[in-house]
Amino acid sequence: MIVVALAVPFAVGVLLVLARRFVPSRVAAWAGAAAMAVTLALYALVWEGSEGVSGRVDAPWIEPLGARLQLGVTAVSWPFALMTAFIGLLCCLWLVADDTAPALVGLVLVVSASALGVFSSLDALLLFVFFELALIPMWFVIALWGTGDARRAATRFLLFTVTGSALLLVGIVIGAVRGGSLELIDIRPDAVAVVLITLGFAVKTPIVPLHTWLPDAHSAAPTVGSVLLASVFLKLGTYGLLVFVEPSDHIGVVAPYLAVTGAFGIVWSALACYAQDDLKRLIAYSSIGHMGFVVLAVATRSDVGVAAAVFGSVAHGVVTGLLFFAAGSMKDRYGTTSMTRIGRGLYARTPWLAVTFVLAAVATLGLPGLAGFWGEVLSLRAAYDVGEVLSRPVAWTGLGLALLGIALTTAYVVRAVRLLAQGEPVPSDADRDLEVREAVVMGALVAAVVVLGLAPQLLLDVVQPLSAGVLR
Amino acid sequence: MTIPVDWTVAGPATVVMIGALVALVVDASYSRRTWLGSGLPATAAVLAGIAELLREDATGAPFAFSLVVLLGTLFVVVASNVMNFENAMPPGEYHFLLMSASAGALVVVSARDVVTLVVALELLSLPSIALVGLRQGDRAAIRSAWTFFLASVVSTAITLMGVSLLYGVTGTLEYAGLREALVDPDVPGSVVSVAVVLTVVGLLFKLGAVPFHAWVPDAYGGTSVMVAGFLSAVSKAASLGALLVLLAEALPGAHDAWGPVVAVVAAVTMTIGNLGALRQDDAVGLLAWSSIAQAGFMLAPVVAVSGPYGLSAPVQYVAVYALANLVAFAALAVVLRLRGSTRLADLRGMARNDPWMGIPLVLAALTLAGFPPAVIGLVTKVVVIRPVVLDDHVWLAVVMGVNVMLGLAYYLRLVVTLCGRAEGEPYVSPSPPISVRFAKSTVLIGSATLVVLSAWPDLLLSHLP
Amino acid sequence: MIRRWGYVGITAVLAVVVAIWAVPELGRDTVTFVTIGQTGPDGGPPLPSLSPDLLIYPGTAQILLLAVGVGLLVQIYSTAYLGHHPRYRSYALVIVLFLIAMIAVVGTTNLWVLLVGWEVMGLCSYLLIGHEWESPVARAGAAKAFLVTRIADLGLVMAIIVIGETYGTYDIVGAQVAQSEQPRHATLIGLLVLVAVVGKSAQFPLHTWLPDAMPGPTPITALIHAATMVAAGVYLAARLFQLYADSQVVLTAMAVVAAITMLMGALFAWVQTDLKRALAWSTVSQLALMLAAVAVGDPEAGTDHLLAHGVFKALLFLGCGCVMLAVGSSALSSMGGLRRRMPVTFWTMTAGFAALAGLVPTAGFFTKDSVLHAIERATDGDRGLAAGTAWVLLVVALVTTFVTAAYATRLWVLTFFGAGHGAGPHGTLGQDVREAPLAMAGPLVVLAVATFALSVGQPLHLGTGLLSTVIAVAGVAAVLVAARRGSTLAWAPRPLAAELWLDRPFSRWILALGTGASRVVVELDREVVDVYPRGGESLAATISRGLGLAQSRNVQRYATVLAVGVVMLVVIGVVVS
Repeated sequence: MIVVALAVPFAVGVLLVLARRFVPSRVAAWAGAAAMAVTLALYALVWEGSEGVSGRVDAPWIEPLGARLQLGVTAVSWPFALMTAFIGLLCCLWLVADDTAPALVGLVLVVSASALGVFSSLDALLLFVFFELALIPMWFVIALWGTGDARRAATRFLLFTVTGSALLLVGIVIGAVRGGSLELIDIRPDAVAVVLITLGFAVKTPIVPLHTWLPDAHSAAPTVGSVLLASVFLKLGTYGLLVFVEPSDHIGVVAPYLAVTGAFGIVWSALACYAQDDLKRLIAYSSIGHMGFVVLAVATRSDVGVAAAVFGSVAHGVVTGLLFFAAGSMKDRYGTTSMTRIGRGLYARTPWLAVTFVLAAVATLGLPGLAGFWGEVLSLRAAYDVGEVLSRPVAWTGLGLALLGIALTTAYVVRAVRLLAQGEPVPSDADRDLEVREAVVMGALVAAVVVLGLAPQLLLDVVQPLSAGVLR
Repeated sequence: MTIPVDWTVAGPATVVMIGALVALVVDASYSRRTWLGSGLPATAAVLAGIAELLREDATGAPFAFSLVVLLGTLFVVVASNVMNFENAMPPGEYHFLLMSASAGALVVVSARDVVTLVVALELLSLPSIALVGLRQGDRAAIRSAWTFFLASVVSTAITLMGVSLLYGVTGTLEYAGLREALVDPDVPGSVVSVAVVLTVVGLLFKLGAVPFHAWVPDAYGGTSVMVAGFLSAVSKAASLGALLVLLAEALPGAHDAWGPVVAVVAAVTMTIGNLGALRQDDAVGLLAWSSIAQAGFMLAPVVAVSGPYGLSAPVQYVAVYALANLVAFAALAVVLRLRGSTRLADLRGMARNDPWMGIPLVLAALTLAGFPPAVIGLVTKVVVIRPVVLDDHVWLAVVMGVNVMLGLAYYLRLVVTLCGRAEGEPYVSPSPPISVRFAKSTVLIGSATLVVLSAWPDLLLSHLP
Repeated sequence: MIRRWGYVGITAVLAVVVAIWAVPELGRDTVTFVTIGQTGPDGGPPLPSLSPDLLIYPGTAQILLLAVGVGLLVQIYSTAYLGHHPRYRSYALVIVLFLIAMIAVVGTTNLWVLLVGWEVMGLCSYLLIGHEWESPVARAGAAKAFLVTRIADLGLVMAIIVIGETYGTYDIVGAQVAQSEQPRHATLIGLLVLVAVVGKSAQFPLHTWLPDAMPGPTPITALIHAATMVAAGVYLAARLFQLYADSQVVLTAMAVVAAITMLMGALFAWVQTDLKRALAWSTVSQLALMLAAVAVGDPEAGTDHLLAHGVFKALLFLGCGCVMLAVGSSALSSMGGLRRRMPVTFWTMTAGFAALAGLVPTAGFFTKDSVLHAIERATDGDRGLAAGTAWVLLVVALVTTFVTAAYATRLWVLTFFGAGHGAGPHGTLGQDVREAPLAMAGPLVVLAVATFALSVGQPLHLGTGLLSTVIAVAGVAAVLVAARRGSTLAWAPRPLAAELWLDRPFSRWILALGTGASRVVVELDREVVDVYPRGGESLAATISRGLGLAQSRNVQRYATVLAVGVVMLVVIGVVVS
């Protein structure tokens, strides 16, 4: 089932790229949406329960290296996979327009499918292959369809990521040598390998100070590119930390640094957000903060931490996806994402867009009852608990920084709402409210944000039996 | 001293050498110097050599290296058809020198005593130097050949010095004898160290390792593209094979002496090579520097030559590297013939407007970079890092990781250049010779092989040594 | 019109549902525990979830009824007050959401549900205060309210986490049960709760958001001040009282906060020139009184006063809205002499001011009396609070009573008596000043009746009752006498008029600090953090160029490099081996 779920978007994506001259825009987008819908449905159906691995596929691959074609989803990876398929589907729906390039749809499919591959791999080498597979398509998404200095931003993104992944590769090999196999459950990275792997994923996550690629890439990318980068690509980093670093016996080597830099990143990014004028850059920086909570949670190495990391990642996926779609709508209308140039009073000019934006904004600041909150509060709890490997001063330093970060987050969100939604309206010719496709995409995400916010058990129940030994 | 003739080893080399002579004679007896006149006998001879090699039913690293050498030569010979009707290149001499060097490469790999090794190295080097300078009326080529020659002479001299020291210390030049003699505690350690290091220098030179790399960019850039391909693939494979056999068979007792040297050279080589490649604006220059870096990657697992993957890892790596490099060089040779330039700026958008050459080039670059979807490149990167880790050279593994990243920086630059949007229609030669199709077919067959290997890496990993 | 009443209908349905549910509980002694979902402390705290468990006891039932009652009245009132506003729909719906959130806070036993309601109230107040978002003042006030309360709410978040970790459950009842077996971490929990309460109930030093929230529509101010937002703070302090009742540190801190705030709020209320703002400060002062009751160990007295205050403060604010509608401003200088033109407003507000001043027989008198009595009982020192602290608290409370009576009278006089300062050029009120429509006046009457009705059955403590009456009457009398003698009642020392400059840290320093820090961060991000990738890039490029230049085709140079290399390799080989 998983093989089909991966093959369909890959195949449709590659076909769309190859046949880009012959496919009408709308047909391409609908084909992409159909493919992602199939994938989403298959991933939803594959679930067998939190215990063990669902939908396992196991075939020999590279015998001499001890690598096998092992696919399957666990309690940790399934939420990531569902979220990715969901976001991929929405990205394709978003592209249902006359001016869409079919190749862009194809690349979106390939990127989504690669990310799904990462989340479904039970073999480290296979995971790494999928991890890298998405990069070049993403480069094209940013460089060819982006705005501003997109080429440079895309190249920076690519170089940062491959720097990380090269270290990651060495780390994986060391882990495989020490553990005797490339299967995820066998990998035993030693201290050096843990450092390397952490660095590799830290670039992707990203953790301050390895984040400087992110604002450029997110702000330059087209709307779907930003959404995929934020909602899916960053999760590759957190997922990697969860799968490789969190279970390792040597996490103690990196845990204090992860905790402090993660929490510091929350404050840092919130302050950076407060001074942004470009809405997409603001959202990009806010992502760093959200990932900071996840990193802090991972560093505690506790069941609560794992739950926090999974919930935080998934919630960030839907919330930030919604924000980027809203920012994309504004960009489509006004040709810019500069808040001063878009102008004030969107409440009056485009009411539904403004309301959606405000909802996403308050979700991003972690309002209880919306999705963003639970990941944060679980992270705080994990840090308060200290966990297995941190010392109390370190964990509580992280806790304090995280709380300060939440306060600052509120400040920049309120500022953004003041600058955009409120204020004396300055009507412009471009003012028009949500189109149907925008309403559908954003509506789906709003629903996800509210459902996850009001019924966190839906997701937590999946993750909770983790201690039963899904991933050691 | 008698040198025993082992026909299982010498057979392919002899066949190839005979082919070289036949090609020369045929070419000389033809009045119209066409490429096929000498090309066909050369091709036949290489095929016969392969048949001869496979007939022996041999296994092991030397066999694998011989196979790589012969297949590489075959590739070069066929792809060299791209140079048909290039009046500056005399086909008879070209094929003769190519086949001679190939024979030398075969002998280098099979040598079991140091004298044979040195002689064979010269048999490999001298025709290679001549090949570099063969293009008539090309002053740059001749200057390149000249630097290549002088550097080669110096390194051979150093190797000979090492060999004589070794002989002086141990009294034997056969690998087996050296192996036993070096474990003798009476042998003065520091002298052995000096001797071993000096001996290895010659092979490192052929491999293009830093600090003996200076000839590589000059030679590759100054000569025909396919000659560069030959040097980067066949010659490099042969010298790596010789180095491996020498270290594994003759000098395991002196591991303490050459281990650190090889490790340091490997680390420096890959770093310098990659850094050099970063700012190259010409695809051939880029590949020249990258092949220096790749030599470093090949060298790295050599430090663990006595470990479980010490022999197989370099063989597998070099096989994939050679194939990818040959595909890239052959594609560039075609491009040079058709478009008259291999500058990156002129290659922009080639994967779109000339997919039959552009996409193989992309594939080759990805393979060399070790980047999916060219899984085989990634797998062989894993293959070479693994023995290094197993042998507890974690620092070297980290250096390799950093260099994988540096390599990605320029390989991906090449890839995105090829896949980007072209600016305007490129110049394409209106009437290419029909024989270019031979070269194109090698590119396609080579890249098809890469695709198959990427889909099923086990094919290579389980079957090569 | 019909659509406007539709929202009233929704609110009414909500109110009726709550009433059906809560009214039977009013007289009951036993606690009804409605378990819909499942909770249960088993071992470590479970992962958080929003379980719909509800708990009602008489105290909560009263507050629930107050909330929905005031909410319904506000909704009715708004049809007239704000009915022609283009954004009436969002306004009315947010009020409904506001009420639901308040019901969640009051009715639940699940701390997370409480938190969700708590924060949703914060959001709703943000939206409602900023309802007139075209005006910069409203935007700024809304943002400030949201920011201050939300930052304080982090205290509640942490308190919930600590409660969960300490007692293994996120159920209030469960935690109380566990606490009665083995109390732990009382000080930590209490201080964290106190932070949240101080923020939400606008106590010192986080009080400055409340007066700034005045640009919101007046009915909303009534809702926030009387029945929902700020009341939730005191309610929370009372609800979780048991968890920190053992900690003298917490109780003392709470008492100190309450003492400072009640006097400060009352003094600030005296000096205001704006009716609405004066009433806002009076809320701050009254909430402090309720908090004082909690601090001296009698949370019931606090919630009782909360109830009475909710009624009369809603009355006062809604009356203030009527006056504002009539004279077009909330400045006291534009009022005066409204007694005859607006009899309903005058009489109902008179009741309200009497309750505020604590005069018999209003509910305000009785509940304030209970609070004073509780403080007086605490002066014996064995109720958790040190005797000295309790004495100070009692004195401050009595002084506050005096000031409260005084400013209540001042506001009453300035609004309704005199010649009419805001009158037209001829010294008479304009023709357009008339009584408010029925939809607005009706709720006033209902609330005025409730102001008296709630005193039925309230306990009376003779000693404190007499004392406070004397003090209050003295306050009223002093002001009346001064007014009779022609005083403008404008005694306003500069520090008080400037509200002790306590807003300065929030409006200037923290803002400047944040802006400055964020600029620095952006600069650092670009110029410092980004140095290593850019530096690495340029370093690699430089080396690369250098390597290219080194390819000079100069054989001598190559040979030199080669020779040096050989020597170095030999050295490595010899030395390392």
